[in-house]
Amino acid sequence: MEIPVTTTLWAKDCIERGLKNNRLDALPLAGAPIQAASGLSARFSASLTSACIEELRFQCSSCATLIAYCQALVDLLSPALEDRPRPPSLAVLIASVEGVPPYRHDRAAIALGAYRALYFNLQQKLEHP
Amino acid sequence: MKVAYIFASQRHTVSYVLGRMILPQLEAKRHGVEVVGMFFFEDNNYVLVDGDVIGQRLKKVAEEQNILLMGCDQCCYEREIADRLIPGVPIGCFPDLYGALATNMPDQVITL
Repeated sequence: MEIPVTTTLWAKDCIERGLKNNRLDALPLAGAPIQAASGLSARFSASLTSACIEELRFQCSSCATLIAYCQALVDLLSPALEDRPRPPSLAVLIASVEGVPPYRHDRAAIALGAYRALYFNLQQKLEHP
Repeated sequence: MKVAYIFASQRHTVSYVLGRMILPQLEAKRHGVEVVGMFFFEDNNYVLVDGDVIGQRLKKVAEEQNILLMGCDQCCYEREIADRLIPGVPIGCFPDLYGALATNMPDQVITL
Protein backbone atom coordinates (compact mmCIF):
# COMPACT_ATOMS: atom_id res chain seq x y z
CA MET A 1 0.00 0.00 0.00
CA GLU A 2 1.44 3.40 -1.05
CA ILE A 3 1.18 6.27 1.41
CA PRO A 4 -0.42 9.29 -0.30
CA VAL A 5 0.53 12.88 0.46
CA THR A 6 -2.51 13.63 2.56
CA THR A 7 -0.88 13.86 5.91
CA THR A 8 1.05 16.90 7.00
CA LEU A 9 3.25 16.74 10.03
CA TRP A 10 5.23 19.49 11.69
CA ALA A 11 8.93 18.99 12.28
CA LYS A 12 8.72 20.31 15.82
CA ASP A 13 6.00 17.80 16.77
CA CYS A 14 7.92 14.94 15.19
CA ILE A 15 11.06 15.93 17.08
CA GLU A 16 9.15 16.06 20.36
CA ARG A 17 7.84 12.51 19.98
CA GLY A 18 10.92 11.25 18.21
CA LEU A 19 13.34 12.25 20.95
CA LYS A 20 11.45 9.97 23.32
CA ASN A 21 10.85 7.13 20.87
CA ASN A 22 14.47 7.13 19.72
CA ARG A 23 15.42 5.85 23.16
CA LEU A 24 13.21 2.76 22.98
CA ASP A 25 14.89 -0.62 22.51
CA ALA A 26 14.93 -2.08 19.04
CA LEU A 27 12.25 -4.64 18.14
CA PRO A 28 13.08 -8.20 17.04
CA LEU A 29 13.05 -7.71 13.26
CA ALA A 30 15.62 -5.07 12.32
CA GLY A 31 16.76 -3.64 9.04
CA ALA A 32 20.39 -3.00 8.26
CA PRO A 33 21.59 0.31 9.68
CA ILE A 34 22.03 3.00 7.07
CA GLN A 35 24.93 5.39 7.48
CA ALA A 36 25.48 8.52 5.43
CA ALA A 37 28.82 10.07 4.53
CA SER A 38 28.09 12.70 7.17
CA GLY A 39 28.24 9.98 9.82
CA LEU A 40 24.54 10.14 10.59
CA SER A 41 22.86 6.76 10.77
CA ALA A 42 19.43 5.26 11.27
CA ARG A 43 17.86 1.84 11.65
CA PHE A 44 14.26 0.72 11.78
CA SER A 45 12.93 -2.34 13.54
CA ALA A 46 9.56 -4.01 13.83
CA SER A 47 7.60 -6.58 15.76
CA LEU A 48 5.39 -8.96 13.82
CA THR A 49 2.19 -10.86 14.50
CA SER A 50 1.44 -13.45 11.85
CA ALA A 51 2.42 -11.65 8.67
CA CYS A 52 1.58 -8.17 9.89
CA ILE A 53 3.72 -5.45 11.39
CA GLU A 54 2.55 -4.81 14.92
CA GLU A 55 4.87 -1.99 15.88
CA LEU A 56 7.55 0.09 14.21
CA ARG A 57 10.52 1.70 15.96
CA PHE A 58 13.74 3.44 15.02
CA GLN A 59 17.15 4.24 16.44
CA CYS A 60 19.11 7.02 14.84
CA SER A 61 21.85 9.57 15.41
CA SER A 62 20.97 12.50 17.64
CA CYS A 63 20.26 14.90 14.79
CA ALA A 64 16.96 16.74 15.32
CA THR A 65 16.04 16.67 11.64
CA LEU A 66 16.85 12.99 11.22
CA ILE A 67 14.83 12.17 14.32
CA ALA A 68 11.95 14.20 12.88
CA TYR A 69 11.97 12.26 9.60
CA CYS A 70 12.25 8.88 11.32
CA GLN A 71 9.33 9.75 13.58
CA ALA A 72 7.41 11.09 10.60
CA LEU A 73 7.79 7.73 8.87
CA VAL A 74 6.42 5.98 11.94
CA ASP A 75 3.51 8.44 12.04
CA LEU A 76 2.78 8.05 8.33
CA LEU A 77 3.01 4.28 8.27
CA SER A 78 1.44 3.36 11.61
CA PRO A 79 -2.19 3.62 10.44
CA ALA A 80 -1.49 0.99 7.81
CA LEU A 81 1.00 -1.32 9.51
CA GLU A 82 -1.17 -4.41 9.11
CA ASP A 83 -0.96 -3.92 5.34
CA ARG A 84 2.86 -3.95 5.46
CA PRO A 85 3.18 -0.50 3.88
CA ARG A 86 5.75 -0.02 1.15
CA PRO A 87 8.27 2.73 1.68
CA PRO A 88 6.92 6.05 0.44
CA SER A 89 8.89 8.00 -2.11
CA LEU A 90 11.44 10.53 -0.92
CA ALA A 91 9.28 13.33 -2.32
CA VAL A 92 6.29 12.14 -0.31
CA LEU A 93 8.25 11.97 2.92
CA ILE A 94 9.74 15.42 2.42
CA ALA A 95 6.37 16.90 1.47
CA SER A 96 4.75 15.37 4.55
CA VAL A 97 6.92 17.22 7.05
CA GLU A 98 6.52 20.98 7.26
CA GLY A 99 9.19 23.32 8.55
CA VAL A 100 12.42 21.67 7.40
CA PRO A 101 14.80 23.88 5.40
CA PRO A 102 15.76 22.41 2.01
CA TYR A 103 19.41 21.83 2.90
CA ARG A 104 18.26 19.43 5.62
CA HIS A 105 16.07 17.33 3.33
CA ASP A 106 18.96 14.89 2.94
CA ARG A 107 18.06 13.52 6.36
CA ALA A 108 14.84 12.22 4.83
CA ALA A 109 16.88 10.03 2.51
CA ILE A 110 18.67 8.46 5.47
CA ALA A 111 15.42 7.75 7.29
CA LEU A 112 13.83 6.36 4.17
CA GLY A 113 16.83 4.19 3.38
CA ALA A 114 16.63 2.73 6.87
CA TYR A 115 12.96 1.87 6.49
CA ARG A 116 13.64 0.36 3.07
CA ALA A 117 16.27 -1.86 4.68
CA LEU A 118 13.71 -3.07 7.21
CA TYR A 119 11.11 -3.57 4.48
CA PHE A 120 13.56 -5.67 2.50
CA ASN A 121 14.21 -7.90 5.52
CA LEU A 122 10.48 -8.16 6.14
CA GLN A 123 9.86 -9.31 2.56
CA GLN A 124 12.69 -11.84 2.86
CA LYS A 125 11.23 -13.20 6.08
CA LEU A 126 7.77 -13.59 4.59
CA GLU A 127 9.04 -15.23 1.39
CA HIS A 128 11.39 -17.57 3.25
CA PRO A 129 9.83 -18.22 6.66
CA MET B 1 42.44 36.89 19.17
CA LYS B 2 39.53 35.01 17.67
CA VAL B 3 36.26 34.60 19.55
CA ALA B 4 32.91 32.96 19.00
CA TYR B 5 29.75 34.15 20.70
CA ILE B 6 26.98 31.89 21.94
CA PHE B 7 23.77 33.78 22.61
CA ALA B 8 22.19 31.64 25.30
CA SER B 9 20.47 33.86 27.82
CA GLN B 10 17.21 35.71 27.47
CA ARG B 11 18.42 38.93 29.08
CA HIS B 12 18.04 41.61 26.42
CA THR B 13 20.93 39.87 24.76
CA VAL B 14 20.09 40.41 21.12
CA SER B 15 18.48 43.86 21.05
CA TYR B 16 20.95 45.34 23.51
CA VAL B 17 24.25 43.44 23.77
CA LEU B 18 24.30 42.45 20.12
CA GLY B 19 22.21 45.21 18.61
CA ARG B 20 23.67 48.16 20.47
CA MET B 21 27.15 47.00 21.39
CA ILE B 22 28.70 44.20 19.38
CA LEU B 23 27.07 44.89 16.03
CA PRO B 24 27.80 48.64 15.83
CA GLN B 25 31.38 47.92 16.85
CA LEU B 26 31.70 45.28 14.16
CA GLU B 27 30.19 47.63 11.59
CA ALA B 28 32.75 50.25 12.59
CA LYS B 29 35.51 47.63 12.68
CA ARG B 30 36.42 48.54 16.25
CA HIS B 31 35.13 45.54 18.20
CA GLY B 32 38.64 44.70 19.35
CA VAL B 33 38.82 41.02 18.45
CA GLU B 34 38.09 38.90 15.41
CA VAL B 35 34.68 37.28 15.66
CA VAL B 36 34.62 33.96 13.83
CA GLY B 37 31.15 32.75 14.74
CA MET B 38 27.87 33.37 16.47
CA PHE B 39 25.47 30.65 17.62
CA PHE B 40 21.96 31.37 18.79
CA PHE B 41 19.81 29.57 21.34
CA GLU B 42 16.17 29.94 22.35
CA ASP B 43 14.34 33.15 21.43
CA ASN B 44 17.64 34.70 20.32
CA ASN B 45 17.07 32.82 17.07
CA TYR B 46 14.35 35.25 16.06
CA VAL B 47 17.10 37.68 15.05
CA LEU B 48 17.98 35.25 12.25
CA VAL B 49 14.50 35.25 10.72
CA ASP B 50 14.56 36.71 7.22
CA GLY B 51 13.57 40.36 7.39
CA ASP B 52 14.61 41.01 10.98
CA VAL B 53 16.16 44.47 11.20
CA ILE B 54 19.13 43.51 13.37
CA GLY B 55 19.49 40.26 11.48
CA GLN B 56 19.85 42.05 8.15
CA ARG B 57 22.69 44.16 9.52
CA LEU B 58 24.24 41.11 11.14
CA LYS B 59 24.17 39.15 7.91
CA LYS B 60 25.89 42.00 6.03
CA VAL B 61 28.67 42.22 8.60
CA ALA B 62 29.00 38.43 8.72
CA GLU B 63 29.50 38.25 4.97
CA GLU B 64 32.04 41.07 5.00
CA GLN B 65 34.04 39.71 7.94
CA ASN B 66 33.63 35.94 7.44
CA ILE B 67 31.59 35.35 10.58
CA LEU B 68 29.66 32.10 10.85
CA LEU B 69 26.04 32.56 11.88
CA MET B 70 24.08 29.53 13.01
CA GLY B 71 20.82 28.94 14.80
CA CYS B 72 20.18 26.03 17.14
CA ASP B 73 18.15 23.55 15.11
CA GLN B 74 15.88 22.35 17.90
CA CYS B 75 15.23 25.92 19.04
CA CYS B 76 14.34 26.96 15.48
CA TYR B 77 12.12 23.93 14.89
CA GLU B 78 10.31 24.59 18.16
CA ARG B 79 9.57 28.14 17.03
CA GLU B 80 8.69 27.01 13.48
CA ILE B 81 11.27 29.32 11.95
CA ALA B 82 13.84 26.77 10.76
CA ASP B 83 12.82 27.25 7.13
CA ARG B 84 12.35 31.01 7.44
CA LEU B 85 15.82 32.21 8.32
CA ILE B 86 17.95 34.69 6.41
CA PRO B 87 19.10 32.90 3.24
CA GLY B 88 22.46 31.27 3.79
CA VAL B 89 22.17 31.09 7.58
CA PRO B 90 22.00 27.44 8.63
CA ILE B 91 20.54 25.67 11.59
CA GLY B 92 22.51 23.04 13.42
CA CYS B 93 23.70 21.71 16.71
CA PHE B 94 27.09 21.46 18.40
CA PRO B 95 28.59 18.98 15.91
CA ASP B 96 27.64 21.32 13.06
CA LEU B 97 28.98 24.37 14.89
CA TYR B 98 32.33 22.76 15.70
CA GLY B 99 32.58 21.35 12.21
CA ALA B 100 31.91 24.73 10.64
CA LEU B 101 34.48 26.41 12.88
CA ALA B 102 37.08 23.67 12.44
CA THR B 103 39.02 25.62 9.83
CA ASN B 104 38.81 28.88 11.78
CA MET B 105 38.81 27.88 15.44
CA PRO B 106 38.20 30.56 18.06
CA ASP B 107 40.60 31.10 20.92
CA GLN B 108 37.68 31.76 23.22
CA VAL B 109 34.01 30.90 23.18
CA ILE B 110 31.99 33.50 25.01
CA THR B 111 28.48 32.73 26.20
CA LEU B 112 26.17 35.72 26.52
